[in-house]
Amino acid sequence: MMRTATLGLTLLLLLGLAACGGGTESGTTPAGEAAESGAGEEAAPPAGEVAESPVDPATAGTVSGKVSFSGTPPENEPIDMSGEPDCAAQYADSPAQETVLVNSDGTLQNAFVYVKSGLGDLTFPVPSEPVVLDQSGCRYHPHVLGIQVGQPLEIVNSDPVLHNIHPQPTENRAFNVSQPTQGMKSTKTFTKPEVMIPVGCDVHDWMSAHIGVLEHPYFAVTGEDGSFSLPNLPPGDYTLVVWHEQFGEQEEQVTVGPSETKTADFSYAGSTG
Amino acid sequence: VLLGATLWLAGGAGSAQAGPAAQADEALGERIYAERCAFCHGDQGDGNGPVADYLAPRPRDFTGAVFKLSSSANGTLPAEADLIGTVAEGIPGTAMPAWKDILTEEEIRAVAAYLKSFDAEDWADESIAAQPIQVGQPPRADEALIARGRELFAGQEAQCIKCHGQAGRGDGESAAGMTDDWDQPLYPANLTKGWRYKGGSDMQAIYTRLTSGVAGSPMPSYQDALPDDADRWALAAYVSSLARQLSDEAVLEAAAHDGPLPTTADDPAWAAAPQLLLPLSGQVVFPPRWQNPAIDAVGVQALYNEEDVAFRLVWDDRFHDTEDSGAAPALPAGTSTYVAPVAEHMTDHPAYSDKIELQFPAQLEGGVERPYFVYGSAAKPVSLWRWDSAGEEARELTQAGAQAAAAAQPEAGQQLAAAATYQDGQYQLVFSRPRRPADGQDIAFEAGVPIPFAIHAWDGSNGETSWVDEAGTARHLMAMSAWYHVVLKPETPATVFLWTLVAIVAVAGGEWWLARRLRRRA
Repeated sequence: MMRTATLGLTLLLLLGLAACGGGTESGTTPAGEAAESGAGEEAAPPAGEVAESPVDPATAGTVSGKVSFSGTPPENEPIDMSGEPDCAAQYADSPAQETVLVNSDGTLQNAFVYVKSGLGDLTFPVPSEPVVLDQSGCRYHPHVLGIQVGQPLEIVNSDPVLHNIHPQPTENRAFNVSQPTQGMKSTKTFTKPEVMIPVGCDVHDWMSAHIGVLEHPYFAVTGEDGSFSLPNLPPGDYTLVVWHEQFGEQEEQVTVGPSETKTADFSYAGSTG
Repeated sequence: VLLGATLWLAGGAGSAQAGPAAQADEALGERIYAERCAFCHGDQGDGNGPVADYLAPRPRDFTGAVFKLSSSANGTLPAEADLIGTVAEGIPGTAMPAWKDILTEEEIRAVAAYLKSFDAEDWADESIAAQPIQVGQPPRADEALIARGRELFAGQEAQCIKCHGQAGRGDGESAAGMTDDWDQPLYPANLTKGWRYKGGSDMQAIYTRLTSGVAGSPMPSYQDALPDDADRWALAAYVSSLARQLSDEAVLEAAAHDGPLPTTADDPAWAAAPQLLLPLSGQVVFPPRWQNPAIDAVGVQALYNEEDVAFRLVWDDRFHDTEDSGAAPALPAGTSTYVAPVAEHMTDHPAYSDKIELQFPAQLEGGVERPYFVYGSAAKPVSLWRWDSAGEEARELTQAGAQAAAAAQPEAGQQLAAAATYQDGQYQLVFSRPRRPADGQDIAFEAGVPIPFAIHAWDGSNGETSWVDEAGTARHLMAMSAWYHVVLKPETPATVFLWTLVAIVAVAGGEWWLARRLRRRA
């Protein structure tokens, strides 16, 4: 009888200790710091253990090219921002979606080019430099962006209006944070490769961005000249993919020899009418 | 801290299971799931059970490990205790019932654990493991705290009104067109409906939602936005203060009023009339059956004077729908008599206006039996006071059964007056009519007599309407209440007190006289 009582008391004591331990441990974390911890912060390599690049600069090559567009591009959907005068005021003309942006030289913006396979088991250091996703004029800047697994994504609200950042991944864990005040920043990370993750704002249903998450640094988004460059590639056979939100994906096989610079161009066709 | 510790213990106990006991639990969980859950949530746990298409919101899809009610940081998995809590308590405002009175604790634990098998990969992913929120004890919700919460709610710091609306009725600028992570339509919560809070309307529950967000929905975490937990407590105190509860009384007391009855809903005279907040549910008695009505409660008050009686009806509706196409809705083909919920606000069905109706028996004679609660019958018809936001028109009608067309009463008998306002997602309507009808077609409102009444309501943007089909049968996609009673509380006239006094004096005088006579005889 006595023994049972002692055992019970010990057990209670242990439970109590465990409970207290659990409580104090988390309790000492200020709410502000806890806020920084997002989906899979742990995936980022701990400081001081940044992996060395596995690429030998002496033999590394480059793949570069252009993404071009032929035919008539579809009209981008106009955005009715009348409900947000602070955002609407930032546009001289009425704002529209950035779904299809064709440059004057016939190249295509916001195409995401990346190495889909060919890197084998190589692992790459995770940059500590954050990628910035800015909300300005009730649109995302950039509209399409790439990031590495574990690399910080710094989300900034430059608007004096409420936004919520609500990516809807299928591989990664979704998050949804509120940014009511101008200048507010939140930092998040993704733990798995995923091309592409759509990002939206439930307050402004027109807001749309796309994030490509990869385990390596070989990705690029085309800009105002429609070009891309993937430098520092180890020699090898690669499957290169270009993604565009309206026109879908295209693949190309590229073999890069030691210190070689290869060209890989892509071309999308719109309606010919 | 205590809650955190409890969760931690629950989580620890769950994950520490191994060996034969765990296997037995898994078999139990699988059996319970097949028996109790699969009909809605599907054999594969993907939320696509046989009845899923008729439910709004749809049953939860377990294959992504995303759960609305979580006590973990946004972007991390919920605790197993959260799953257990949801199974035990159910989710108000949805088809998910509370299982705590049906299943044993062991069964609930087993089935909660079994749910994880639908997405074993995510549940095993250490990088998204649950990070419990430290909730702690709520501060006292005094006036200052609630005022600070209101400031955050409406102000720049949190801007809750953007979605939840000025008065918290879920009617903010961004309310229309919202979808969840499965592209299903949903609206911001009406925070005044205490009975609809999915995870509870107490401060701790609201604080947890504000901190974690509601995963899979547009509701974001406010942990980054309001890093000081005192602010989140203030917001929780204010939101909790908005939550009202439904009445459980069945008799509405109409208050006597001196002078003309108020004709507008904002008249201060209404403060003297007790209010019942009555529950409504979908019309599921006659096909097509409608189980997803938008209006689930109507506040009712009544005032009367010697000549007239007036009712004040108050109900929430996120959208002010004032146009009506008059078209019959397209009903789904097939054998089901239940109608699937509308997919999008005002876009996948013709335009319908908002309407409301008070139902009374057409006659009070003929015993205590009331007419059938859905529009009566040929033998016992009902009278209707109907108001339509299209044209703001009030009409008196008679109907003899749910499937019979309603007939407007003759013009001579149209004595109903109505005045309505719509603001911040709420209708306020005053109906008034002489107590004794001129046409003799309706009941008279005599004091002291319990008079049955029921309420029917339509939210146009939710696809709700009533119509008469090609075969001449009346159809109703609407919300309705059961019968309640209104009693015009008899006013005690001054003469009552006078006669009482006279009686007392008379009795006392009589006694004195009797006593004197008896004494004389002795």
